[in-house]
This record gives sequence, C-alpha cells and structure tokens, in this order.
Amino acid sequence: MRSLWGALIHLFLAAACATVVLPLVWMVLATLKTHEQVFTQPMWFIPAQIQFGANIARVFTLIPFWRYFTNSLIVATLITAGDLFFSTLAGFGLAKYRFPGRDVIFAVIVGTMMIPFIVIMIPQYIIVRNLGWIDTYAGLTVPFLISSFGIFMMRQAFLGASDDMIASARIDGAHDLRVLFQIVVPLYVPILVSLAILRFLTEWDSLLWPLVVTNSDRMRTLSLGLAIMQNDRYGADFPTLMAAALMAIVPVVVLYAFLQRYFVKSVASFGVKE
Amino acid sequence: MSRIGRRTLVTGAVSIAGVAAFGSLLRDTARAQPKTLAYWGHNYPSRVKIVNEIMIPGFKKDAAIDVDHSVLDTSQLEPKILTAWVGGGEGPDLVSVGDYNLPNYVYRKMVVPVDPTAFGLTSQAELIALFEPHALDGFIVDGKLYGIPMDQGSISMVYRKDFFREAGLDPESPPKTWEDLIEVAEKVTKRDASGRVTRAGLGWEARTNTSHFYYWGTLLPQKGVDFLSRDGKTNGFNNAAGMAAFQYLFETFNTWHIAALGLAPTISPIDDFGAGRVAMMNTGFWLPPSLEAQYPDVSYAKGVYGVMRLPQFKGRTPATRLNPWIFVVSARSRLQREAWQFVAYMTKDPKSQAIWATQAQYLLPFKGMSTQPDILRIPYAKIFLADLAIGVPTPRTVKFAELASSVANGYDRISANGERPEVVVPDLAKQVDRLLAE
Amino acid sequence: MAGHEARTGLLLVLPAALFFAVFMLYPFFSAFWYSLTSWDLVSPPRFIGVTNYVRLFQDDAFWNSAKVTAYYTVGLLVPMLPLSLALAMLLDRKLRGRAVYQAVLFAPTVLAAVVVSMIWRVVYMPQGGLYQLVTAPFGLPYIPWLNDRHWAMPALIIVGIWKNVGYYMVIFLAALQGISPSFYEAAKADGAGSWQQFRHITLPLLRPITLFVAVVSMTRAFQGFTSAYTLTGGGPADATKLLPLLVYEHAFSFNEMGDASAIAVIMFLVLIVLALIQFRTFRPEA
Repeated sequence: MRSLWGALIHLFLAAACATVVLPLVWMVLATLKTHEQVFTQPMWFIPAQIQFGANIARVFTLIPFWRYFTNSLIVATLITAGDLFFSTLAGFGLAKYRFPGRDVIFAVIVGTMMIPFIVIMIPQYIIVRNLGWIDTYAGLTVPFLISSFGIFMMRQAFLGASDDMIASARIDGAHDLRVLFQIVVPLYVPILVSLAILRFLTEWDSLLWPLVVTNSDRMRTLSLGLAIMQNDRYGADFPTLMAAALMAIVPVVVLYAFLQRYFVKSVASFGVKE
Repeated sequence: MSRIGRRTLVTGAVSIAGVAAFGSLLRDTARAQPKTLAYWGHNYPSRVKIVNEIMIPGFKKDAAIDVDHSVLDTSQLEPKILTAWVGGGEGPDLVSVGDYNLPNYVYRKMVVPVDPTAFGLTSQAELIALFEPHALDGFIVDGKLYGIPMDQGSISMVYRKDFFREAGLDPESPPKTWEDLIEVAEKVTKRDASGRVTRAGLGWEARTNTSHFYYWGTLLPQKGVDFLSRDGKTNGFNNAAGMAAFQYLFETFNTWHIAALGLAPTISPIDDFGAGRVAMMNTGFWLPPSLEAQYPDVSYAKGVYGVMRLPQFKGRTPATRLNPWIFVVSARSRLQREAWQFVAYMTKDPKSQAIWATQAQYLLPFKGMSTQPDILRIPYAKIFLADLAIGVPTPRTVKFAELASSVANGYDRISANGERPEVVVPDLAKQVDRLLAE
Repeated sequence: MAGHEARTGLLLVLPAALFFAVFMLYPFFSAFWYSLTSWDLVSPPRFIGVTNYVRLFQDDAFWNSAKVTAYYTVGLLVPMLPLSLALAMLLDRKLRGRAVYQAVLFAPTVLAAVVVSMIWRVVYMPQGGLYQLVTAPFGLPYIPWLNDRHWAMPALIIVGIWKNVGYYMVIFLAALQGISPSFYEAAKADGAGSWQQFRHITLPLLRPITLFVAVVSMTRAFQGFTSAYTLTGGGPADATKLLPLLVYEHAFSFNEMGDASAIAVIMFLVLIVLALIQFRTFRPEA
C-alpha cells in the first residue's frame, strides 16, 4: 500500500515536471525547423536540414539583440545595486538608531509596499518626463532604485544584529559607516544575496515601465524588445521567435542551474517565520 | 565624534553630486547631438532600407546634416509619437506616419505647416501645384498644408493564381464584384478533415487597430457610407447600407466560411499570403517587393500571384480606401526647416520618386506620376493607379485612436465571437457617437 | 551622544526617505489629483471633479475590464494556491529526487514573463501546437486558444499557473518545513489520521503564510499586464482586456491621463478592500 502511494506521488510530481519541461523542449525543437515545419510536422520531427544557425542569425537581422540585452543588464544591475546599498543604509538606520520620527518613517515606508504600481505609474511617468529622462537609463532605473521591501527586510535582519558587537566596534574607534559595512553587513550576506536575486529577476522581467518610458529602439530592454518583436508584422516567424526566446533565457537558465539553491532560498525566506 | 559626522556628510554630498553628474552624462549621451535630425518611421523593411542606404547618406553629402533614424514597430509608432510630442522636447523632429492622426496632431498644435522654401518654392500654392490635383486635400487643415505624402496608398487586391488554377478557375479573370467573389473564394478555400479552414479564400488581415479601415473597412464606402457621417459629428453606418456592409463581413466568417482567424498567430499579411494561408487579400502597392523578397517562389513574373482591382458591390459607385503615409514635422522641433529639406530631398527629385516607386513601391503623387515610365514599367502599376483615382480617405477625427479601438472591438465581435451585425452595429454606433460627442 | 546618534540615524535614512517622498508618496497623491482632472498632456490639467468616475461607471468597456480582471484573479488563484500547497506537501517528505523535482518546478519562476508568453504562443498554435498532446486524447484536437473569446482567458490563466506555481510552492514548503515534527508525532500518538493532522495542525499553523501568499498573489494577479499584453493584446473582442491594459490604453493611446488615473485609483481601492477581507479571513487565531 505504502509503495503504491509512493509511486503515485512520484507519478504526480513527474507529470508536473513534464508540464514544465515540455514547452521548453518544444521551444528548442522549434528553433531547429523552418516556419512551415513548425506548423505542419509533428512536434518530435527533426528536419534533415537543421535550421538552428539560420534562425539564430535571423534574430540578429531583425532586432539589435545585444543592445537590448545590454540595456536590460545595465538597468537591472543598477537597480539591484542601488536597492542593496540604500536598503542597507536605511535598514541599519531604522534598526539601530533612535531619532524623532523613526517609527513614523518606517511605518510609511512599509505602507508604500501596499501601493500598487499601476496607481503611481502615470504620475511617475510625468515626473520622469518633466526631468527629461524619457528614453534614458536614468528614467528606466531611478524610480525603482529603492524598494520598501528591501528596507523592510534589512531592517528586520539588522534588528537581530548584536548591539554589543556594534558597541565594541565603536569603542575601537570605527565610525558608523565602517561599522555597518565592514562589521555588520558581512554577517548578512545571504540575505543580501537573496534580495539581489529577487530584485534582479524582477527588473529583468519588467515590461510595463520600459514600455512607458522608452521610445527609441536604442534604449529598449530585452523584455520590451522581445514583446515588440513578436508583434512584428514583417518578419518574425516562429522559429526566429523561439530562437530569440532561447537566447534570452540561456544565461538565466545557466545561472539557475548552478545557483539554484540560492534562487530557491531567496523565495523560501518568505515562508520562514520571522 | 563631530569629525566623523562631518566626514559622513561630505562623503554623502560628494556621492550625490557624482550620481547627479553621472545621470546627466547618461542623459546627454542618450540624446542626439544638435544639428542631427531625429526621424521616426515604421519598420517596413523596404522603406527602412531606402532611408538608411540611400536617403540619409545622400542628404548628408548634399546638406551636411545627420539624420538619426529610429525604426518603430507599426503598432507602436502612433502611441509613441503622441506621447513623445507632448513630452519635454525629446520627441522626433520628423516622422512618417499614417495620415489618420493628422487632425489630432493639428488640433493639439503638435505639427507645423509645410515650409515651401525647403522645396525651393515661395508659396504653399506653388507646392500644391507640384502634385496631382486633389492629391493633398486630405493633408490640408484650415487652409494650411501639414503633410507631404510618402505613399499615397491606394488599396487593391492580390490573389494567388496558382490556387485559382488548382481549383479550375481562370487565373486571368479574377472576380470583379464582392458578390462574384463569394463563389470564387469558396472554391479556393481549403479545409481539413474536421472542416476547419486551413487556407482562407479571402484574407481580412486586420490586426492593428488602424488596419481595419483599409481591409474590410473598404466595404463601407463601397456601399456609399463610412464609419463617420460626412460632417464627422456622428456615426455614418447605422443604416441599411452600413448594415449590408457589416452583413457581408459577417458572412465571410460565419456563413460562407471563406475568411478565418487564427490561421497563424503571427500577424504578417506577407507571411499569410506568401505561405498560402490566404488566397485573396486587400493590399497596397507596397506589398509585392517585400513579399517576393521573403518568398522568392511566389513571383508575379512567374504567374504565381496576380493583382486585381478591388472588388466592388454590384450597382454601386466604385470606391476604395486610401491609406496614405505622410511626412509631418514637430512643432517643438528646433530643426523644422532642415526636416522639410530632408523631406524635399527624399521626394521632390524625380530620381527619388523613381527609387521609392521601384524599390518600395510607394506612389508619390507628384504631377505626371501616372505617366512615369519607371512606374508604368511595373506590370500591375496601372491597377493601383486606377484604384487611386477612386480612393476615399480614412475617416477624419481628432479621436481617431478611440474610434479605431471601438471599430476593432466591433470587428472582433463579428469575426471571433460570431455576433450578428444586428447586435453589433447599433452598439458600435452608440460607442462612436459617444466618443465623438466628448 | 544622543544628538549624534539621531543625526547619523537620520542621515542613514534620509536618501531612502527622500526617494520615497518623491517617487512614491508624491505620485500616489498625484494620482488622486489627476483622477479629478481632464488632461491630455498638451494643455494644462482641467479640474472636473468626479466626472471621470461617473463616466467610468457608465462605460461598458470599464465594466468589461473589471469583470475580466476578476475572472483572471479568481481563476488564477483558486487552482494555483491549492496546487502549490499540494506540491509543497508532497515535497515535504523524504522523497528520492526531491531536489530535482523542486528545481524543475521552480524553474519557470526565473524565466522572463515575456519569454514565457512567447513560448506559450507557439504552444497554443491552433494547428500543430503542443497543447494537442494533452487535448487530443480527450477528443479536442483543435482549439483556437488565443482567438476565441471563451478560450483566451483560460489560456492566460494556464500560463499564469505554469509560471508561478513553483514560486508559491517554495514558500509553502519553507513554511511547512518550519513546523516542528513533534506536533505531528503528538497527534499521531493521539490516534489522529493524516487528514485530521492536516486540518488541525498544518492548516492552522500555515495561516500566516497563507495570508501572505493570498495577498501577494492577488495583488500580482490584479496588476497582471505582461502576459495579457504579449499573448493576446487584450483580445479577442476585449475578452482579456485586464484593467492594467485599459489604464495603459487610456493613458498612452488616447492620452486621457485623468481617466486613466481614475481607473488606477479604483483598482487601488478595490485592492485595499480585498486585502482587508483577506486579513480578516486568515487572521491568526487569538
């Protein structure tokens, strides 16, 4: 009885995994075929003349793939770095210092977590427009530079930092920023890594804001460029789209394969009781 | 203690200054240098090629002005232009865009009238005299000319001769009326074992909001009405003639099943026609070069496809839709004269006109265009020219985007949902009236 | 001493506080202001009071989008959350290959949403799409997923589940692993069966995390833009015109900033109400 139950569980999980894997396999197989073959031939069909190279090459003739990729990389990195830096600063200040209005500020910052992006999107667009930041990296990154979630996480984390340790470091003559960055932060690298991964993935993924704030092809992020490419009336057929998709996810998948544990942990940290 | 505090302050101030400087550096490098014209156009490959390889280098040699050419996807072009031009001076100096939003641009003071001196002339009247009579009528608002055509854009039809032959039809006598077309389309429509259409006899290729007006949207003027009334204040189709037009559309999908959706989730008319998923399709003169570039086997010369006049309704005044694309210049531009000079460079010289006509098959309606040997050399040019003569402009309203959105919704309801015109037309009429009244 | 501490503390928090003031609070209040104006970005905003709201409540397109958004949110959460919990529970055991299962099921989370939509567009191809592997045995060899008003929303929901179930599964799993086995041992000693253990130990102890997951997933679903924009563009016939798409259209295609802001404000108020309801439902027992 027990092994039947166990077998069923494995079956169920395997089926779930199959639903994850099959579309990805389908994507890869499509990059090997021509447009007509994708339609007309069964899924497992592999043509005698593999079109992979041609399809990949075609992507580059249709879109400036590396430009999009670089833009996404720059934007996501800048935002992640900014988020980590300022969340650390603010989280430390909120956790370990007393000053008038501290709790109010913290409450407001946490409160902003409930503000959905759609509400502030238009006013933020107006601000960015008035600053002349449309179609610039500044416009793409600055409005997202600091997240209330990051501050919240770091503050909660730093609350647990040992006051004694901090005090003794101060006695040794270290000033505050040094205490923070050289003594406290190294103890919290895992949480910072989690934050970084989460933030980076979110920004890499982002479509609506780049759509709103960029006009020229030069400044498009990868997500935006791909979204537009698949609406293209003049040239993007399926194998080319799938080749572009493949190129877009290979770096992430490779990173994931090696660092999967960190990815999972960063999300799992939500589930752990504080 | 205070020493430490000051150091922190100084570090903070320096880093903020550094970030600000860096930010403005980023901003400046992303923005074009002065005396470079910013030109936005759509991603039609032939056009892009001509502009990048011939027009821009030539203009640079001629006038020593750089042109920064941005290519936007057709569906993105108008929203982006709109928002760029109401933005803080970041928008393009020059755009080539469908003419349907011209009323909107003029109303919002986003564009400037054409500068005749850029064409080497002294008055607007002289400029208009360069063109075929009435060719520029659609681009004149309150007596001022705001746009120069890049392509006058009449709509005719292409059809697959090979499918005609296959069905036992004479490839040299395509249907002349919508009524005759039904039977022909039924013969060339292919279905699979379960009755699903795999090749549509008739391709209504309307996928972007604006394209509805020149695909099935030709049916309305062909019945003597249009989406808007003549004065542009109310809808023009909530009547017997309009209902008849929508009824025809409905029946192509739901009664005769000669049109079908979802043959391919990509939205390329070139792909659908070239890959043989549709047998007959409305199109402009611009289609064949791109078609043959992508599908070399589908060749006009080899008789694989043919061009025909747009079918008409029996007993009705013939009409087709005009889908002109025009050059307009931004009111905020600091290079307005230079922009119009570039337009003049691209269009005024008969050599340039020949390039557009032969490589992109854009018809620039200058006087004598219809007798130009380069154009007449193209075997089917006469058909497009003939249809050009009966062309009706797209409805003119400041609220074009909203109108297009409502029309698209109505089309979806008829084609995808199979709702009857008796239900859809009054709803659509109500929506149109409401948006016009606001 | 205290003065220095206060000053340093303030300085540490200042950049973030300023940032939030400028990029969060000011826009937040501006949104309400804009919603009371008519503004086409060219002329200055014109105060028109609640006209935008009145007009919206009479607008069929708005109600359609509201309905569609509700359909999507509920249709996504109701299958996805129990499924992610079930998967988490299955993985919360000594299972061979558990790490592999987890890695695979979590993988869609790291893929960019646009890429996921591109892949599923080909899966949903009416002729020859991958979906036929699953539907053909049930006698449904052809489904015009993205072109059919009845199938378009289920298509979106399936993609949403595919992409996100691993994310919530991992959260639940972490929470499950935080439950001390002693609870279960004690219950088993008292003769409780698996189902009773689930009902009386697991579920109650999961309440806080369920609340978190419910609020987060609801907020995300409610604001879903990417997959609808890339897979269907809101169609066919607005069958998948989620509210965020409507906001985008009103703001950037029609340039009616006031109107668009009003829709966004309404969305915000609804979200707050729904979140409050969830807080009450999943309130940890006193």
